[in-house]
Amino acid sequence: MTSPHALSVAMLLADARLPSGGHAHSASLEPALLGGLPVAAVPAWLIGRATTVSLVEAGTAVVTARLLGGAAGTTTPAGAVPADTIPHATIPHATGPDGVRGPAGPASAVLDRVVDAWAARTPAPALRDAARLLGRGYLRLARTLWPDAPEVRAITAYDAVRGPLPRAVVLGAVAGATGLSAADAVRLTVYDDAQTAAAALLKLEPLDPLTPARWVLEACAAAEPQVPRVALCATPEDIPASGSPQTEGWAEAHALLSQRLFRA
Amino acid sequence: MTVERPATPGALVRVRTSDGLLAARLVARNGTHAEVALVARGALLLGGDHAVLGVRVEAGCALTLTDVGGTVAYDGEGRPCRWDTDLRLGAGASLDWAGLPFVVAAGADVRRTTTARLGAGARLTLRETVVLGRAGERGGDLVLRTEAADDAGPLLVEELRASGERPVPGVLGDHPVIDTVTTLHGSPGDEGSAGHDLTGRHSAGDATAGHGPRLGDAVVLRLERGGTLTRWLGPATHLSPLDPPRPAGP
Repeated sequence: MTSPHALSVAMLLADARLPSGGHAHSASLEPALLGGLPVAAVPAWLIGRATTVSLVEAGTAVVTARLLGGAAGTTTPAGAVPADTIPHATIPHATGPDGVRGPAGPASAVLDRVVDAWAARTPAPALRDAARLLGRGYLRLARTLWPDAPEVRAITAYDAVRGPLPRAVVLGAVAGATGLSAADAVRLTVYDDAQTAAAALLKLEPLDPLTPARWVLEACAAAEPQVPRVALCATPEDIPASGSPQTEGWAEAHALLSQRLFRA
Repeated sequence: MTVERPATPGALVRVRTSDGLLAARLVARNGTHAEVALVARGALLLGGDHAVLGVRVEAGCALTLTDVGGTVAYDGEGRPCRWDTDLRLGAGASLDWAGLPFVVAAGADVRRTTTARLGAGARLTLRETVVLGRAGERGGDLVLRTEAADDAGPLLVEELRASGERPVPGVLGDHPVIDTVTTLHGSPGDEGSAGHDLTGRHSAGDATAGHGPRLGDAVVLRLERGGTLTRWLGPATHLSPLDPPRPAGP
């Protein structure tokens, strides 16, 4: 059977036309504007996200892919892990959440550790809820497109018992299942966040549609020096913890509003 | 500094301290609780300084820590400084620390870390107020890292990077003051590898359950595994709506 190139998968995942529910989200932009962020500050805010919260998400995806795939064990020194490949899964098929074993342990235990690490780094409940809603949409996609991949079976089984996984974890499983490199999983995460906010901006503010496109690339460029470091994350402890308190405060305030265009 | 259970029932808790850049002074104690004041033993923090504070509260004991004065990290003229706090709480122990402001002067390059390990049923309440710049200054560079865990795993991991000269919207914006009260408790033990209580996890369905009340302009963030992080960003410490945590002691 032929497989699509990992780049094709990345383009699919980053495509706003993909029906995974991303259109209902503004990547915290609507909360920020309602909280008082001036439109002129959006480029700097996007760069701030690309170098803080996006890296938490990206590191979560990288570690998920690596631990579900298992070839980069928890004791491997980070420097020894090749940055450009997430080893493909070798774990057997799942029968239940505890039925899947990888070298790093049962898949459910691995997922618990990654989810706990992500949740400890995501203090705002509004943002955890939003990430889990997005994860649900991504999981539906993953189950449809890669139903036999061990990583997808593992997250499907986990979801059935423990409830929705955050989007970064689902993305990590897809990256592992499709051979998307760790560095590209980081870039995809950063790009998707920035582009989601940019698309939302055009619905909230009158603006030349080409202007935010430049801002998206500036945000990606700002994150690029961090890509190798985040791509090396091998354990849940390695996941960046870079917070964004002002964004977290805006997200909580927004979650209480009834008049809003976006979910978060 | 260590707070230990008394050797005989009814006796006073034992408090052992050793001084470095900081000195610890016993203020009061009884059979379960001690109050200790932290005093700087000279100008703190200068470039190259590394303050290390280790606090251990043994099972069943309680400690209230107070700061005698705030701390200023001065212009290090290119040399960074560090302040590392390590808190270890035994089962059922508690620690309340209403810290006074930590000011990052212009030119300072500070890494300030707090690690905490909570035993089963332990409770930790911390107030940490960090100010970028003295009056009329924008302030230096700051890395503020907090890492708290109990026997089941991480409770809170956060690393904030800020620079008075280069404020980032969404991180602190233009606010020089970041005021945080963190309350955490160690999950009950005896659950083996648990802590992954199925009913304890938030689901996307309970969309409003996790959103706490707002205290003035402060935001209460309910953490996934319990505990709260109450935070206020603002222009000046005296405007903060956060009360110091109430001491648990006598």
